Amino acid sequence: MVKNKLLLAEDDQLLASLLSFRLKKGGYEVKLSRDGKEVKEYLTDNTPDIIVSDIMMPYFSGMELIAYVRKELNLQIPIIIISSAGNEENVLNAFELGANDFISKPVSPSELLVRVARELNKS
Amino acid sequence: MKTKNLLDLQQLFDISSNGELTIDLVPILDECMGEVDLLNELVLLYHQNALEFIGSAKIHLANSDFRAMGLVAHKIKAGLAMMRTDSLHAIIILVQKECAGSQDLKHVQFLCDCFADEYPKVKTSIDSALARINQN
Repeated sequence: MVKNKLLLAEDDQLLASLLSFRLKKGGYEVKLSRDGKEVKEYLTDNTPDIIVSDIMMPYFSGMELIAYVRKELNLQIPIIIISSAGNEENVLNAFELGANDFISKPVSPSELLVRVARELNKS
Repeated sequence: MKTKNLLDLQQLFDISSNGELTIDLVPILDECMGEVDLLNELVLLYHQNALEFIGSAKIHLANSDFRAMGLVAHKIKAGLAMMRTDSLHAIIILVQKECAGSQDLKHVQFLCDCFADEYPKVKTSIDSALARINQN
């Protein structure tokens, strides 16, 4: 069975390690990027089935990532944003730019798996 | 200790001053699907993040750089919540609030000192909890 390719953009290594582990266990092929530069490089040659991205990342924020994917790459793949509680304005901006869903930190890996599956089923 | 957020700080101290601090890593181990190696890795990263925060905070406070201070506080916050270390998490929320708000250098310094004082207690408790899990 072909695994869905998931790009996880998260600079917090603690959270990234746990989420990456659970997503792999959940059957996804996970590409972990720890900063925006890595994300951009990866997207030059690869098209994941879904992107899960933190909003605050070095070099290239989650917002810039959404705009890049939607406007420059013209891709409609699902994007789930990870946001800190209290960042409602960022979340609204993310939706306006084309994000499909968001999940608040601290992220529950089980909840993320459900949301990822739901977005992939929709697309 | 007279600070403008005295009430908040008293709440912080109540978390850790009632005897020994106990941290339960079993819920985190459940999130790791019982993988003890992953839990060990997460604890290691947690400690690295805490030490990095203490070091970065000194530099940013010396430069009165509240923006950078707010960012390092933001970066560590999710990990503190994830590991359910409530006392440190509560301090960091106050640091963020102060950096985004009135930017009182002495107050932020005081909060960072609280973090640095509290962290060794949290570390001892986490390491004990991890040792118990590793023994089983």
